[in-house]
This record gives sequence, structure tokens and C-alpha cells, in this order.
Amino acid sequence: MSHPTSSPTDAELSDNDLVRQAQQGNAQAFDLLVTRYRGKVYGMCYHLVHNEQDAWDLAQNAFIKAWRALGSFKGDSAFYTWIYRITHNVAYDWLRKRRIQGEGEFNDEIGAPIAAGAEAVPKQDPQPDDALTNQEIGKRIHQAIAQLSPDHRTAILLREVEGHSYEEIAEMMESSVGTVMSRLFYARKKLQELLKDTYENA
Amino acid sequence: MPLRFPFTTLAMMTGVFILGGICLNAQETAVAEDGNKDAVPPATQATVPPAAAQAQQPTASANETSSPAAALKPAARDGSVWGALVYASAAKPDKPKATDPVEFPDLSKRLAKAFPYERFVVIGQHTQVVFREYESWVVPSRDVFLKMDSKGSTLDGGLNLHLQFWQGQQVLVKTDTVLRPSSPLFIGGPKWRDGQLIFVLELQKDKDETAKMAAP
Amino acid sequence: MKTPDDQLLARWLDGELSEQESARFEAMMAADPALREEAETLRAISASIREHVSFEREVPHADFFNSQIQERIAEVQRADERAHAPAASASGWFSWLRTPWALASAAAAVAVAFVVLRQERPSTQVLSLYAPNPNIQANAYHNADADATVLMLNGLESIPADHEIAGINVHHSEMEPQQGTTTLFNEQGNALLVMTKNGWDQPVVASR
Repeated sequence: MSHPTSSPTDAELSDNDLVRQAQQGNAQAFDLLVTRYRGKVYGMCYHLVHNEQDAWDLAQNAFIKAWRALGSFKGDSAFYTWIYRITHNVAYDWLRKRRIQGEGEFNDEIGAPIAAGAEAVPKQDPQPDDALTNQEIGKRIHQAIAQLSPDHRTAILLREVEGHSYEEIAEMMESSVGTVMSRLFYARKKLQELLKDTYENA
Repeated sequence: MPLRFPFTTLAMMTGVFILGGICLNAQETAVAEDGNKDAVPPATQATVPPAAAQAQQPTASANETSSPAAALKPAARDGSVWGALVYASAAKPDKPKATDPVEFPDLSKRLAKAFPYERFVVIGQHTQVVFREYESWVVPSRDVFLKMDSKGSTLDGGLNLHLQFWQGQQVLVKTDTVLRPSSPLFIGGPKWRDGQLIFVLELQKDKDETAKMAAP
Repeated sequence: MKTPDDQLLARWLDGELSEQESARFEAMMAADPALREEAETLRAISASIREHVSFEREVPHADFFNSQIQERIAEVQRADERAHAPAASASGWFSWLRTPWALASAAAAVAVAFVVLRQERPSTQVLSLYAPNPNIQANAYHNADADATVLMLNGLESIPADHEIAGINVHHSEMEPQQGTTTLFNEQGNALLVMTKNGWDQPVVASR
């Protein structure tokens, strides 16, 4: 994966180099890791909680938790797998607390459906003649994803958008490969149902 | 017996408590004070040439009381500070980036690390001499301003100040702060419109420091 | 997974089928239009997700985000140090304490030493804070990222949007100690404001 960097030398330092330095107490090395992964960590949180302030707090907490837990990172998995897992835990703890406090059933959609076109950055510019249709599709996709349960949503995004393998996703979500495949299955079924009208003439 | 703390710490504490009474910064100037002043932001800024600054002193002293002794008596100075009122807001793609003042070239970058905003516009600024015996004001705007009372210099070039951050007739916070060179104070002020007012205070590096310290 | 066919479909979508399995699945789709339709729909949905949805999201106020994390890390480090600080040995500490001026400054020295020992260059230090208004909480900390000391005030009332904030650029000031006034001038030598104090020791800002 390519990462945004602040200087030529930063790009040369691998995640593991930075982690090793951070494990010895080098906060600047950890700062570089934060810069590399804050977009993904914040993005993951935002997809789950749908508001900037909470996503911000969760992302901060995830990084602090990672700092405290650096000693337990052995390097047997990729750093990004490890930080995603921590983020996943932090976000789910938060969601669970809100559910206990009566925010609603865990499996229902949590948070308002994403406003049309306002959220994610489109990957490519739509063709001029298709512009409206494409935009409308994008809006519906976002709304459908938002209606999935957190588990289903996370699984489908890690698979479709981030392209992680079943094993990686299992590590990140702290579950088995079988559970991951099951979640993907139900997520796709649900999306198909929600997007019936959009893809009638696929 | 081995001392447990480095000499600099001891020296500093000694300085604050024992040498605090000794005048380190005696300077023969009129009571009136000149500060650097730049053009209204965000236009380009120019510092006041020293010759012009000096020229204003005689005029000012003429406004003093009629007693000749009082007019000639120098007011002890403990350095000078630069104060600015900054309006911080979110980045705006259509607006040009705000220019940082000459007195503080990396202001935006540093404020962005301390506050959740991207755009920092200096609304007003005021360089003010800190008097030993008198309170002084740093007033970059009518709405929020600072009152300063000096409690003396520290050996490491710092200035012990009693600061009061005022908004209208209300003092928001009172603090005893040791202001040190190249180490600004950022005060988070009230929110306004889409952003926040931030007060920046920095101790000016005094070029005449060594000369002053040598003065009897 | 409900049926082996579902598994096959899922793995076909994810591009995980071997050549033989792929061929088999193609044959299945040719024989079953409903299956083909479902497979193509799911594939279109996947493609749309990849096109329209991004996992990553730009963090608002990114520099501040990093800086806040650094502050919390510093707090963690300080807490760890306090937990592991060795106890002062009897002889050296107490004999130093007995000297008269040391007694007076001992308490302050401990606090200062913590700061001085850990920094290369001493920074601005807030020694004490007081907010008279009980609704306002004042806190100060040194932000190493910004290389500045930050004084935060929580509970301030916002200034109304319709209120105009006008800044001034003060060029020089003149103080009249006997009258207790300070006049602030601009570069042109025009008086901008006069600062005085009322009977309650509150500042009065008056236009010239």
C-alpha cells in the first residue's frame, strides 16, 4: 500500500521499523504511524458511528490504546491488521455501551443513513453523460451500506473496498474465517434486497 | 553531599528568590513606549524604522506631568511582549491562505497543532514594553485584551508575569506565568461565528539584554 | 453459508475460484438464468461499492489530531515515570534541604525540576491559574508539537455572531501614571483607545 508521507526519508521507514522505535518509547516514530493510518482508522470509525465528533474520539482512543499495547505487538501480523483490530474493538465497545443505554437493537442500523453524496470521496470522476445516474447510484450504495449491521458493514467494506483476504478480515474482526464468510454472505444478500430497484436491469 | 539537582535548577531558584530584587534591566528611557507596528492585516507589513521610533519619544515626554524630575525619571523595563488576537476558523477552499505576521512567521502551523482549525487570521496586534513598576496593557482589540504586571526577570531570560485575560468588564482568567523567549502562550478565547478567538503572547528577544545586565 | 452453491457464488465474486471451479460455475450460470442474474447483480453491486465508497476518510484538523495524541502519550509517559520514580535517598536529599534558602524553594524546585530535567530548553510555564467565574475551567499544558504553552478555557460564552470584532494595531502607548491612564496610538500617531480603571479596579476601554 502506498502511504502519504511528510519527507523522503519517512517513506523509506517501514511500519515495522517505526513500530520498533515506538516500542522503545520514541513518540515521534509513533507520530509517523499515526499520520500513515489516521485516515483508515478514522474512516473505519466514521463508517460505524456516522458522526465526526464521535469518530474523532474513537480514532484518538484507538491510537492511544495502540501506544499502550505496543509491547504486545510481536510483528507476526502486519501493523495495519493490528491497528484495525484495536480500532474495531474500541468502536464496538462504544457501540455496545450505547446499545446497553437503550440506543436500539444492535443489529439494526445505528446512526442516520448517510446524506446523499456528502460523504465518501468518489474514486473516479463520473463520465459526463452518465453523471446523474452514477451519482444517484453512489447515493443509494451509501444508504444501503449504512443500513447494514456494523458487523456486516465492516466485513463488506474490508473485503470490497480494502481488498483484504478472509484471513486478514478474521484477524481484524477477531472472529473465524467462517464467520467472516457468513457475514459477507448476509451482507450481500441484504444489499441485493435493498438495491433491487437500482440493479433491476443489471 | 552530592546535590540531586543540576546546577541550572539551583541557580534559577536562587535567582528568583534572592536576586529578584536586583534591577537587571535599568534603562534610561522616557515613560512613553514605542512598539513595533505593522500595517493592517492581511496586507504586507513593515516594521517601524528605529529612527522614527526614537523621534516619538521627546513628543511623548512633553505630555508628562509638569515636574521635571518626574519627566526625566526612567521607567524600569523588564522586556517587551508581542500580543495578537487571532481569529481561527476551518479551512475554506475559496479563501486564500492567511499570511502569517512578520513577528511570527510560523504562527498558522503552530496554532494548527494546538487548536482544531486551519485558518488563522491576525485581527490585531500590539507590541508592548513590560514595566517593572506599572501595569501594562496588551490590547489588540477592544473585546479581549490582557493586563500585565511584572514580577521580575528570571536568570534564564524569562519574565515572571501576572496576567489577566479580560473580556469587557469580566476577567476570564488570572495567571502567574513565566514567559520565556521563543515559547509563546496561546490562550483559547471565546468562540465567535464559525471559529474561535485566540490570544497569542510572546516575549520579545531583547538585543540589549547583555548591555542592560551590565548597567549599574 | 446456506448451500455449497452459495459458497461457490461468494468465492466466484471474490475471485477465489480455481480454473476448474470457474468453468463449472460458468456452466451452472448458463443452465440457471436466475443464478446468472443474481451473480451479475452481486458483481455490479461489488463494483459500485468499489467505485463509490472509500474506507479511508480525511481526518478533520489533522495536525491537531496528531498533536492531541502526542499530548496523551506524554501524559501516559509522565504517569509511568511517577509510578516508577525511585524514592529520594536519605542523606543527600535531607542535608541539601537543611540549608535555609533551599527550604524556601524546595517545594517549587521539585515541580520545576520535573520540567527542566525533561526539556532541552525551558519553555513558558504557567505557575498558577484562576478563573473567577465558576462556570469557567482553566487548564494549561505545554504542547511540544506546537512548541507553545496552551491555556484552555472551558465554559466560555460564545460571542454573538452579529457582534463585530474589530482588531487594532497599536504602534505605541503613553502612560500617565498620575491619572492612571494609558493611551494607545496607531502608526500615524492617532489615539485609538484610552485604558483606565473604574472604582472597582475594572478596565475601562474608551475611544479617544
